[in-house]
Amino acid sequence: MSKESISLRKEKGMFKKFIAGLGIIVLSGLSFVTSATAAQSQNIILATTTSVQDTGLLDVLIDAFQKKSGFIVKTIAVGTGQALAMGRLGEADILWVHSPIDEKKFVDEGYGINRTTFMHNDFVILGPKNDPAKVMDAKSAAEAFKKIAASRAFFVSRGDNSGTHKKEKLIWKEAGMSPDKNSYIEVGQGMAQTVAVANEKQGYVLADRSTYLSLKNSIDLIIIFEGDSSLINYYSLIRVNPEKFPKVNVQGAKALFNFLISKDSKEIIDNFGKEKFGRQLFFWDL
Amino acid sequence: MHFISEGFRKGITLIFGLNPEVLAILKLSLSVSIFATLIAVCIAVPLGSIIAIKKFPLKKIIIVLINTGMGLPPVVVGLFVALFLSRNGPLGFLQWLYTPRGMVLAQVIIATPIITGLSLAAVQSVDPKFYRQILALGATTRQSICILVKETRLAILAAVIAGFGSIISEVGAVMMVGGNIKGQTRVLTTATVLETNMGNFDIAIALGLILLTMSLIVNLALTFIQQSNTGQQK
Amino acid sequence: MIEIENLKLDFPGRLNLFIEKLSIKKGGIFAIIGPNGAGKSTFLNIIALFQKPDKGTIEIWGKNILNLKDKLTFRRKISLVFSQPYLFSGSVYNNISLPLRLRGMRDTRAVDEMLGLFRIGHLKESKTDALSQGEMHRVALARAFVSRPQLLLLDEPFLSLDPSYKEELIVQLGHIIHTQETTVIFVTQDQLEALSLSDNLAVMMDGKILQQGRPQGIFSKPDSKEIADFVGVETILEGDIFKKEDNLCFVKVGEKIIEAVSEYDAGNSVFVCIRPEDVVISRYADISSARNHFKGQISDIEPWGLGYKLRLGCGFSLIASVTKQSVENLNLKPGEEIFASFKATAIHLIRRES
Repeated sequence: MSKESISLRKEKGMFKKFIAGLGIIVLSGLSFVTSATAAQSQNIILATTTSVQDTGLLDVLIDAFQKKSGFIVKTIAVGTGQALAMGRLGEADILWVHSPIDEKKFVDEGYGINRTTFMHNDFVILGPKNDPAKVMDAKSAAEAFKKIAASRAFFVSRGDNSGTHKKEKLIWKEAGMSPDKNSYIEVGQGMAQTVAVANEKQGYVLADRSTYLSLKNSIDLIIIFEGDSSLINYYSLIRVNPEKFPKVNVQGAKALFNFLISKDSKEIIDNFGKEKFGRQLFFWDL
Repeated sequence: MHFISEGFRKGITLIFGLNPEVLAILKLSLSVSIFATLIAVCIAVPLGSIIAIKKFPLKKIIIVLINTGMGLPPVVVGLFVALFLSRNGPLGFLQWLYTPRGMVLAQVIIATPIITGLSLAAVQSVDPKFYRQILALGATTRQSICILVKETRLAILAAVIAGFGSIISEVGAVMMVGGNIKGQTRVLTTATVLETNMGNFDIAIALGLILLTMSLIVNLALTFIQQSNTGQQK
Repeated sequence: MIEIENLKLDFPGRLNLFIEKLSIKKGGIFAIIGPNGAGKSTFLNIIALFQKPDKGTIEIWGKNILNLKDKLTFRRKISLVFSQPYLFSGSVYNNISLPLRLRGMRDTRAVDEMLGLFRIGHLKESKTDALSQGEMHRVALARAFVSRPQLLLLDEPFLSLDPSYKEELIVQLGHIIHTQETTVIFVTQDQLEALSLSDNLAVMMDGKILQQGRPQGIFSKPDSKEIADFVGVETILEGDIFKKEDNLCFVKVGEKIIEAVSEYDAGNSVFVCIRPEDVVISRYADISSARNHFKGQISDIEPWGLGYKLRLGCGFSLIASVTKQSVENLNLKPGEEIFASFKATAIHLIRRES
């Protein structure tokens, strides 16, 4: 009789513990359910690119802004192509992208206002140390691409409609040729992944300098070509047109916009990267 | 190659150093997935049981749909939920996009068919005469479901474990619906992808290890409860 | 109290259940016996509202239960035990108290009463997976009775039990049922169970009720050879009545003549039914006052229940049942010559086509 009662008691004890555990979890779950109801006008949707996020600059600037203003920024880091597409649907309040031709089209079609180019960095062409395509001898980025295509060396592309990808396509256009089909690899992923694949294949890749600097120690590729004016990468801010999309958070977008073009922002941008990489990564344009 | 071992070392540091950002990511991962599992269980277990015991037209077709639902790709669910929750979407007024609530919604949709299908199979495996015995003792439909679930609790708990496992480990839906926003909707899986994309392989491996460990602990708890019941099962 | 009319349920290719009219009185035990596939379980399923018939009515307590909107109230007045105990995981106490808890009641006294009635009080806290077969059956029965059902349905409840255990349980169950005043419909293939437990009996074969009445009546006077076979008339002989004197028929069976009391006239071809219990065995002739005496040789002795079954050749094949004592006392062995006798009144004649 006693043995059975002990096991019955154990069963009840375990059951109570289980319920207690559930209770804690449900309560913790409820915490984010209720907190999200803080005024929705505090939220700003910023559509930007992975290259800004991946260097860490985005976090620093947004943190500073959120602390100062009390707004909550929902940063959606996708390719420039997707960011502009979100803008076209009114699904974002403000865009921070780097593809001037598409940006101009965006504004001309009435989707964006206040387009302001406020900073830049540059792209570099990375390649294997032995440089089989002799890119080092090239005089321009376009020529470099021509040489790569001619030599049939591997070229790895973002392939994702990002700003980097669009820049790459422009250079191919300038070179007046398409890449060699058999040695052109479209990865469809972020910059670091793309560089990693190029590293594996010992091929060439167009990358932004900041990403290269953060990966430098873990890859065998080196900078084969840099400095051409066509490799400069301009970043602009565009506010999504509130007249077209009444659901846009106008106040928030304005506040973030003003912050990003302010002196505080300039200071952060000027100093960014000096500690980690030994040099400034982004340059102020205003 | 050396960065793989670096990664393991980094992982240990982050875990034992109690890095606040990592802790926040961990807490959110667990909250979202456990909460979503609880909601899914409340829907799926009764639903699976009722479908198992009742006769109704199109029953076979419904079961086929549930079984298909068990294999729903999370990223597709995420895409549709994100579209529905977007400003232009029918549920845009909820403003759940890029919030944990939206993520919970997407994960509930992923986990529910899995738990329903497995609960359904568990209850169907009971001798039909047993169900009649329960009814003959004077049980209402609700009461008989409670009894059947209690009798098949081993298999039902396995269903819950499977449901939880499927959502704690998915990345597509929480990425699409949550947006992987730092401090707001970043969870272990999306953070792992991000760190990999940024080239921070050591942190990525660390996060991966933390995710595995977390999953192991939760499953340990659930399995312990499940197996401690085997003494009572026939 | 239960009136069944024109009940029909067809399973194409398998079974066509059709009961034209059946009445079951309140109180007491009504048994339905029949071979496998006769439709007995189907019949119970229909009463328990698990299967719907194609047509017909079943009136219980004044209402046609086949049209009920509120099935739950009806189900809570009845109870059902299957051949498998179907116990739930947990303690014996929890199993027995379940029907009460389902009805929102807590009655420890009722549960304790059941534990006492079925002699399982010592198992109160035991887990159901630690019980023996017999103990599980008792728990299942206790569980069925605890809610004081007005109608109890038993679907071959003793099927998997040891014969000796079965007998004891059946006797106890009989007592309990009669003190509880529950009406019981009890379905089985085993005619001995039916004989010991029931007050009234129906024989069901191929979905139809072939004979109803008091068990003793059916057993001693089956209406047909099939029923006779089924109810355990072991000796069924073909014969012809060639002479009748008053109510005594003289039946020619092979070379022998058997005298039987019957209302059939001479000229009829019949089956002669002799129950094994009605045959008296002795070493010496003329020891009883029976009209039928035959000398025969034992061809076979086989254990049967708690005794033995003797197969005798006396010009026809005769089966007698004897106790263990008799076998020892008379030193019965195959090949031995002995005398068998049986009364003319113990024989049952069934008309047959010749």
